[in-house]
Amino acid sequence: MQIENWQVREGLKYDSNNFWVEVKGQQALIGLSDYGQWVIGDILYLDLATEGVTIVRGGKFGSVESGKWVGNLIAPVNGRVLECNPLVVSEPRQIQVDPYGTGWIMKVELVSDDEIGSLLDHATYAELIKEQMNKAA
Amino acid sequence: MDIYNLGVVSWWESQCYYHALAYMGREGIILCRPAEPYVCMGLHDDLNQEIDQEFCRDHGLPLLRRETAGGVVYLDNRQIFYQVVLRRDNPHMPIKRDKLFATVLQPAIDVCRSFGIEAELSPPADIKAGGRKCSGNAAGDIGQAVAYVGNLIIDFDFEMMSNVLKVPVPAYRRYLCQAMQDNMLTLADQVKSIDICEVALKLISEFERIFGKLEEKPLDDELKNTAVFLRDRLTSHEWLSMPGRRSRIRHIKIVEGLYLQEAEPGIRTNVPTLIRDGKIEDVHVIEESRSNSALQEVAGTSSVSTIL
Repeated sequence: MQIENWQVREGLKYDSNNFWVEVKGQQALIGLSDYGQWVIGDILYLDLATEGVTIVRGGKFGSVESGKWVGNLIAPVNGRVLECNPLVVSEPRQIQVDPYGTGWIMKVELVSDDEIGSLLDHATYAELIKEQMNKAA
Repeated sequence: MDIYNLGVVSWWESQCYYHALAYMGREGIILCRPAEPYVCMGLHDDLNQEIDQEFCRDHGLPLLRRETAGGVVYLDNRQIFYQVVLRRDNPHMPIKRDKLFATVLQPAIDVCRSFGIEAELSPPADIKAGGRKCSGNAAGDIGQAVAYVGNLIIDFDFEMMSNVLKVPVPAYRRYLCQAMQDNMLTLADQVKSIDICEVALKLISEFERIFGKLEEKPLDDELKNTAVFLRDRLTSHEWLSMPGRRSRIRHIKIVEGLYLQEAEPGIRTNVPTLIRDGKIEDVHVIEESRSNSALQEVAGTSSVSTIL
């Protein structure tokens, strides 16, 4: 679905830090939403937790540099890093080109079955974007 | 909003108090100058790629890696630092963090204008006058806050800055120094006599137009202790040596949109090339690369110069 200039893909889970999560069994792919990549702006550099490291929901799992700002990447789930997308590590702008496809960021093994329970469905996330835009207007 | 008008502080204090405020979740503005020169890296700079560590050691220049964006800078007491720390839930905070540069840099722009310098924002975060940079700025999320930090360049030691940076061949350094001199402006270039205390007071007055009445505060024990704790981390060997952004071809940012690159892609020789807004502006053929017919290879670019 389209919210203003941004696509919110159905079938994915989202968090309030603009990450999407796609669950496949005990594994999950994590990426930045279309709106999330717009918020950050031109991504120049990504520093990600390495394979084997455990990431904790709400904790930092990397950092991103855009223009003259650096920000923390906050984990949407608890899990162990299985793989970082080598494409976005070498070409971070790929996140902006295809945020839901080739611009995925990380694959993790989920700690438990209920990891996604607190995440938002696409409709709720779309409302969150609308709220933020209304507040900014 | 609190203001800490600290005057001259030690080199590490000039970076650690704003980190401390941010980690403590306290808002405030800090104005200060470092008593001693030092070298400050951006969060994602790669120590081994960026810095001539031997030069820094030989000249007693300490290193610190800050938690904001931007690149390596040589800092000394001829620059006035302004550091604005806002909580993420502050109503001034826009959705896109870089949009706030236009607000937090306005005081520095207005101070430059009060000296007759026609300064303006060069997005995202440089201040330029007459096309030359007169203030460098960066931001970063730190703890639950965002820090916007920058400086007004009263004067600048271009030679030291070019010596601090690691370069592919020594001759590159002379061109780097020249490129910085050509594209940066100091207040001392434009104003005969500058009272630094007066500059600080002007900055306070301009920040009050944005944030309302500022309350001058002394450093408290909690802030001091947190800063000391952070000093140890931000200057530790492990933190400084963290791997960072590496590039296949060495390129050094001079000002926003202007880079000195080791070589034009496709040219095998070692030819420093000035790239402005993605286009080659100037190519310098240096002694070490003359034997490789570099002049012929770069034919057609806007300018070819020679450094001996």
